[in-house]
Amino acid sequence: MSLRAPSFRVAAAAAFLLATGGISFSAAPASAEVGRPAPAFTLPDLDGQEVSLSDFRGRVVVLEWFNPGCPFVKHAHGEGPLKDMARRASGEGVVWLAVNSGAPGKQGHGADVNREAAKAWSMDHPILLDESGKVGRAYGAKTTPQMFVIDSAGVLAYAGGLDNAPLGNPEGGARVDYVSSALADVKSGRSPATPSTKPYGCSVKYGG
Amino acid sequence: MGRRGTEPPAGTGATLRRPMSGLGAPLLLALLAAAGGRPARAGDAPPPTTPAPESEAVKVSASLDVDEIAPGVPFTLATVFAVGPGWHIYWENPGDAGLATEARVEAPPGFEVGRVAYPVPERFTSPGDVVSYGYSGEAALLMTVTPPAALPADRPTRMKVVARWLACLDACVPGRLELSLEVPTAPSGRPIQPPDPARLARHRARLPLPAADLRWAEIRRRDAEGETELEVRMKGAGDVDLLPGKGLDVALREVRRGEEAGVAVLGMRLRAPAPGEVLTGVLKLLRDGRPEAYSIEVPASPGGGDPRKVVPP
Repeated sequence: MSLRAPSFRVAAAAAFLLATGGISFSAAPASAEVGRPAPAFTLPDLDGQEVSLSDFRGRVVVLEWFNPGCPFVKHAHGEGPLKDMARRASGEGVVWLAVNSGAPGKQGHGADVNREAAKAWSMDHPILLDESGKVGRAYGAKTTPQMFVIDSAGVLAYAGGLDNAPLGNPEGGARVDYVSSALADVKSGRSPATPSTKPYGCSVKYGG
Repeated sequence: MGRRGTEPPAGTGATLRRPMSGLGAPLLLALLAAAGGRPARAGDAPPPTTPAPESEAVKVSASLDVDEIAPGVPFTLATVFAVGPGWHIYWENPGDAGLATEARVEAPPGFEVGRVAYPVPERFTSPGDVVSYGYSGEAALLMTVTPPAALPADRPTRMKVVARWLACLDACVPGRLELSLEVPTAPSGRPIQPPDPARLARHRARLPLPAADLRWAEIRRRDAEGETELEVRMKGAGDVDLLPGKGLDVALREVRRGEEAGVAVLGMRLRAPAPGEVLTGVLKLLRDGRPEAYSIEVPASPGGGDPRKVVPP
């Protein structure tokens, strides 16, 4: 977008407009907020075993929104940062869960497709199926891969992108690994220096 | 019109050669695909209700508003993305999902390449309240290229355009294409032909107008603790919409539209941006039933509450 110098100038009638003008806003939309307790959930894994967030009380949990057909996910797991990140974090006691909120009939839906992807990418962590999209919507998950870090007290500490490098191309030069930074901060008992970023990726394939 | 090539697989180089010109036809540099695909013909386009197959999701070509490059005379290079039926690609700010469409020019030393100008985007909404911004049909990314003042007349100029995009139907497919351009240099000793404004007129007409051209609008930004409100009030305009630029929608919490005594009101509530951050966007509206669009930028209010105003010229 080519922008000229702004032509804005302070209006003389400012105070009047501020006092009379305006439209009111209702409450903010209900989705997970950083600094508040992460929404509870129970979802089946690929073998139908139920997994609940509350199973991991007292531990740091990473949620990774997942769709094996999404090019951003394919890149991240095939050659990008998710190739071994979960394994390394798990080795340090972090619980890592992938969540697929794709609806039946949509790209990346179904236990078999996800099982194949898990095998191809040597994923050791569970993939949870959220066919109704209820958990995805509760977290405000819009893209794959969108990431959430929950601290050991169950509070959402980070929400956003995996890094600043969609398909491996960093925006503005150097790659910034938001999730690893957030994990390091959380493990040291600090609030993440960057608690939220704009996620990138494919849209989550919710049902209509 | 020239031919439009098909899109070879990612990373494939293609050569563009200057077609025969002189009939006053726009110089549309034809892309000769190095591999994959066949030339698209108007007659074999599928009916609009049928989505194009993945291989035909996006076709890329390049087009100039000059026949030849003259020393020191800026020209415009258009990277044209022809998007197949059912598919869309993305604006500079893709919104909640997607990836910005990009065009980058590699020119010889001494050439200056300006910023990419994006056409006015559309808004796409998918289930889960996922909002994105982009293009269906056709979109041209325009760049001004300024050759150096000294340019050898006996050699053509070689440039490379690197295009990147993400095309989405239900699922998405990333694409990348390199186009090689070879453009003759104007011979010395005869008058320089200026760029032909008619050539890229169709693409230029789709760019947002500068904010300076915006009449009868008040744009107010109020920065409060943790939150910023942006309000646009316009007289004599309908269907006012602000498509948030890079940075703005990171924090978009709510959008409200209304009308008060003939004045269209658009309000946006945002999580507070970084201190001093300029909010940008494209303001779309209808005036006398016709669509208009403007690039706007709203700087932070210095005193925390000063509105900014655009006044009639």
